[in-house]
Amino acid sequence: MRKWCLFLGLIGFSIGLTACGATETTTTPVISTTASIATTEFTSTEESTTATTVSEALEPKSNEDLIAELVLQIKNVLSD
Amino acid sequence: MKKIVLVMTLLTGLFYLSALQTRADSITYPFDSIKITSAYKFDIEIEGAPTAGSLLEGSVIDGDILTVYVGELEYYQDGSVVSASPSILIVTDALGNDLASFLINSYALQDPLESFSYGSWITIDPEVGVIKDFTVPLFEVSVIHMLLTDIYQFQDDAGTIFPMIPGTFVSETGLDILISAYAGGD
Repeated sequence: MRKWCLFLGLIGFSIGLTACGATETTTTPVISTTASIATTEFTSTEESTTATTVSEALEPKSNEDLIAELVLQIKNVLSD
Repeated sequence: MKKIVLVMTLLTGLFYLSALQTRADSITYPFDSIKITSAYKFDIEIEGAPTAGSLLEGSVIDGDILTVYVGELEYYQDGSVVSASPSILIVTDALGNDLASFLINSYALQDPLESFSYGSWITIDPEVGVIKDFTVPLFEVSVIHMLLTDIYQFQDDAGTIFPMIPGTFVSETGLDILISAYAGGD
């Protein structure tokens, strides 16, 4: 009986840990779109190797900014 | 010994339930861009005074014409779709003022109709995905699509249904409008 209780307790604990881990939000401050910003930051006379030095993280847009852009685009595309 | 195991099991159960409740507050799928794939709109007419306390109260009067816009979206991360059929609803008055611009909260198919519910508490964060922000004023409105007749209706947060004005439905399909989710990423 004790072994069964211990076994069930351990199973429950592991499920709890798994559920807790699933709620953690994944944050990726640096995304893979840095290449697009790199192309805007060096002139045509510079060597392309300088692009590798531009790897700053882009700022995520706010919910309000994204909604505003969506609203604008949707209204535009459906305008008469 | 039995008591210790019992207490441990109970605590674990509570811990698990707590985790489940937290999970409902966010849906994690980071995205770097949003694509508008299709959109439609239709007009509705306000008949009578809006229900007290509803989203429309104070913004519209009897006889006003409102336009309901819906945009079908896809969230992308590194070129791959990471979400399932999100959409946005916008309600605009005759002067172009937005009375609501909410993201989808739920979908229901109840033949012969399907309904799309949009909540004011649904927000998006490119680094996280969808976050339910229950600190804002909570409004939920719906678009109802009658499948047999292909007629749309708008339902406000008070449950009042406003039918589409015939002949006002306009749609655009096959769109490829990409919006970067990061400043400077356009």
